[in-house]
Amino acid sequence: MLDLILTVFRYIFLIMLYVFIFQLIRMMFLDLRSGEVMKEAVGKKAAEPLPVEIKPLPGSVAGLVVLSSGDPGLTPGSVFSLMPEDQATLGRSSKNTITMVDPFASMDHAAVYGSDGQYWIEDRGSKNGTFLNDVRIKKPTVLADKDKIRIGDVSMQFLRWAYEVESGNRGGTGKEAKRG
Amino acid sequence: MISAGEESRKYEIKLLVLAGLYLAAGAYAGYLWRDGDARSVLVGASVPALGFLLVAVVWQALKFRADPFLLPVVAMLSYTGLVFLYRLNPFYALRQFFWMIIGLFFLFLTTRLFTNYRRLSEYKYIYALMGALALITPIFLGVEQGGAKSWLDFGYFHIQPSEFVKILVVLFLASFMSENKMVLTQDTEFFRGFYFPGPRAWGPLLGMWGISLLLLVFQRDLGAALIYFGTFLAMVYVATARMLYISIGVGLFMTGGALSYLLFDHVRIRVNIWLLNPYGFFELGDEAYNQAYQVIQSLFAIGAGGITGTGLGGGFPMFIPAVHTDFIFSAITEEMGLLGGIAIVLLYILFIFRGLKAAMESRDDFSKLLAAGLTALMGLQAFTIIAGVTKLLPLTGVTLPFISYGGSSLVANFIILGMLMNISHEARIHE
Repeated sequence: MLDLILTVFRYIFLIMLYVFIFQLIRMMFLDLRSGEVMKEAVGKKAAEPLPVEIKPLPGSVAGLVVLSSGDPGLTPGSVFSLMPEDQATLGRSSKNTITMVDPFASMDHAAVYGSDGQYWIEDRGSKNGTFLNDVRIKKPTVLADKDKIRIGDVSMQFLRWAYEVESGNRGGTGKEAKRG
Repeated sequence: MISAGEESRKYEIKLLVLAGLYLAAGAYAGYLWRDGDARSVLVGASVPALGFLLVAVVWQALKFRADPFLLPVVAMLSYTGLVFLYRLNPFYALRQFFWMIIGLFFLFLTTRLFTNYRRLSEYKYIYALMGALALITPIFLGVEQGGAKSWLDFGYFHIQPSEFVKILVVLFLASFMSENKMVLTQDTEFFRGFYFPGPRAWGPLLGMWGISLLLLVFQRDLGAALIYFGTFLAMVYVATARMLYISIGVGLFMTGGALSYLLFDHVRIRVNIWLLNPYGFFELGDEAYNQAYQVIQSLFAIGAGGITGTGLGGGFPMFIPAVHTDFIFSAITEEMGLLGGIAIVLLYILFIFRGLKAAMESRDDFSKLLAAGLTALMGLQAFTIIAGVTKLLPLTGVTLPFISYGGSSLVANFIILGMLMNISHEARIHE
């Protein structure tokens, strides 16, 4: 009789171990779900941060404004002006026009360049992708005023403040990109 | 959102009640098998169970927002240790019981005193100094236990300072790296298509490698060397996200390992036991024989367990030397079977998951690095010893966190838990 009780409790001991793990994972799942619901609600409330007043460089026609970044060397509100037919490279390497020390940025991540009166953004085979308005770009894409560019934790806004005399036909999609 | 924090503390209390039932089942089975003293078993099981619950209830009252799943996982691991120590030797269980109460007290103290843990990042050279002192003192004033001279004698109890040094190492590395993150992340030289870090980044990497090797040589502590260097690499990866450092680090460790294999007998013996047939050492005698004997007995014990085990008290784990410390996992697997062993590994995995989650949720580099480092430390320690007793890796003597017999190790691990809870609290309070 005593042996039977002992055997039963030995099994209960083992079973309880799994009951605990099952309940633990179930509650973790519940916690995860309630957390996500909450984050969505908060995300909707948060207002878009407006870029500060911009003083463009003379001769520049467009620029990139940093909206937010995890890199202390790249403060929100800083502006990188672009001349017509200019090229700016973005990435972690210090050889880039815009260096971003971000764990999700590749050394040679992306490039923004002007061509025929338009500005294009191109991903240069980065590991974690370049996002234009939260869509990952696969090929060189034309930038429009107020477009949002995101690389890792760094998000920037493309602003166009002047147009050249002969304005290009905006929106042309059949155009071949220049090799950067 | 205030309700969310309180909601999650309820998970903690519910899970702790379940863990308490697990302890009760184990304690009753152990009591029946041993035919022990009913009153001491009752006190020995109910006091820790109530202690854990008390901590959770006080946290709830204080509106502590930290992760609610870390404490229950730790409770399960500690209870498993307590039940198995009682089964192996009630004297060990009694001592572990007192250490667990002290550990819980230190856990609570950590969550009260170091809530503002970010200030800790300012004293990094004090940690380095304290760590060095704590490692050196046992060499002169220490007493020897189980081959390693790393204990300090305090009359009624021994303290192993190296258990506390690991916390200091992670604290030092976290404050150093969060300050020098830019240096580590930015490239300095471009060579043949690879970006190589400059000497300022090389310095700490080489320094840490050197410390690991010194531990290996002077303290004969293979396990500690592996854990420190692994933790360091994990933290470097968290700080920089660059595989290059990891490949170089692994390369350095391999070189160090190969060199010590060639130079030191005790390393060679362990690697040979691991790679060659351990039964071949059975006939050899001396040190090799003893170490092969441990591993062989451990493998026999694990094999004897089968799927569901022999049941608590049904096996013969006492044949394994040091079964109450390093080899307790073999005893658990013998008596709770493959299922029990897998459950223990699962508990460690879930602990690591919650620890890394706390790291990801926190906002600043110091918190992230500290949480990731402490979690890596705990995970690597569990991995090293479980891999050692199952002959997946060469055996290196470290304790199984929260389960193995040992006061210093238990208290140090509870302090680590407290730090993780603080980081998680800080991250969640701003949500």
